[in-house]
Amino acid sequence: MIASQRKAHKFIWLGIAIVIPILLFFVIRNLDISPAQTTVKGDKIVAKKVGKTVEIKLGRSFVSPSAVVYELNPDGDPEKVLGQLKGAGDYSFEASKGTLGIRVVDEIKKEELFKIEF
Amino acid sequence: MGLAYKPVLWNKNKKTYDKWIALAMVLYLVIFFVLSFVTNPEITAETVIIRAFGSLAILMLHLVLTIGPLTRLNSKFLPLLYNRRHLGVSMFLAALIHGIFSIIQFHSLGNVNPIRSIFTSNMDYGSLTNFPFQTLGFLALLILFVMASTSHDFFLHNLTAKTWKRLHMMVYLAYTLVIAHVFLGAFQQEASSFTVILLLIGFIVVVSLHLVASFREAKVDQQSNATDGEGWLQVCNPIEIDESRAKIFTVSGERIAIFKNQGKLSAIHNVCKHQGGPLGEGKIVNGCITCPWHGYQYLPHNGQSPPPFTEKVKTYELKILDGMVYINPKAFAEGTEITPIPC
Repeated sequence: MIASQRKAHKFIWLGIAIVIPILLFFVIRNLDISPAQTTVKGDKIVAKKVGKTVEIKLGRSFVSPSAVVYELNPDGDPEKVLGQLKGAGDYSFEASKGTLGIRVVDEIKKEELFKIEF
Repeated sequence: MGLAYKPVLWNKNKKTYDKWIALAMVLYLVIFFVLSFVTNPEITAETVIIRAFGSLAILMLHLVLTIGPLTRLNSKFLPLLYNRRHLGVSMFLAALIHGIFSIIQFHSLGNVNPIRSIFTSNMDYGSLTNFPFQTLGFLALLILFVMASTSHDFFLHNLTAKTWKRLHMMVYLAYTLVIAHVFLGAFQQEASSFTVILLLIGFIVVVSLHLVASFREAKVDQQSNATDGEGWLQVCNPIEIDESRAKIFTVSGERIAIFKNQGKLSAIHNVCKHQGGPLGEGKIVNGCITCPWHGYQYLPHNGQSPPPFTEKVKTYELKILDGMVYINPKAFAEGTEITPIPC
């Protein structure tokens, strides 16, 4: 490399070394990661809110044929359906930014299976 | 070389390196696929393809970016540099597959143009935590496409080495976009601490290597030499330079190679016109200084490529005083004839 290219490389990498960590710092600071968990018939269920995404980790399928996920909103706001849990696995749902938690309901029996607040 | 386009030959070593690149890529993909389906049987093939090729591309990008500083820190890594271009193009192909499958999976099922959908499906551009990270990946892919498609020697020759190098320094912008794309995507979609930690380690390694190499080079650039009172700089004793070989010195911030050929010394600019290879690390073959990277040749006494080729580098005047070699730091125009001095 010629001298000007060596200098350019140095300043580019100094810039990257400064900019990326600052960006990451602000992203992590703004992230609202709120893990919470509950137990249903001995099975641990973990739910996490990351930004506007709600993630649910389900170890085993429910006996109930229907498990609809609602988000818990601040007082006054109606509950919004996020989706359905169909079996064991990891689920991601896009929720409102201010969501307070989730409620999973068996819609056939009209029975609340569990509720998790963040 | 300069008269007409002539490709660098695909020699035996290059073929061997290419085979290793292909083998390592296939091995990584197979392991990724097996582990993904074993640990999560419900995962779809499309998702595994997106993740496998995406992670492979970013791993390869890290490797590509570490080769440059590694060779500046230790010349044992030079063989990797000769084959960096093929690694870079392979990395682009992996990133392209990741990009195509991501567009098909996330943006092709609606009635909006998939490319437009990348930029409009999530308009939360003011948010850090919900930023449309796919746009960053798409922009990085465009840069990598430009780089991969101009990586051939044909473009290097026609764009000139300076323009080509500037164009290919856009890889640093692509790297920044890729890092932001993966970090923001990981936080939004998976929040896997493993992914984030792995990327952080990669980022620290790449940035540290580049900064260490840069500061080491800057230190060399600042080295000062004794002068003879007329502005000539003392560089070495003639016996320090082996026959048909060179020593590299820093003069006025530029690297100069002083070669010994048949007992006579000549000085030329150290940077090859082809791809910026260090001429001083090469040797004299059949009377010509031969670049260690791709074999481009220059005559020691005038810095010109032997006819019919037209490449030229700057030349420098030397003298011997009290048994020491002195160099005039004022460079002559490229290709200027300077009589070699006996030593």
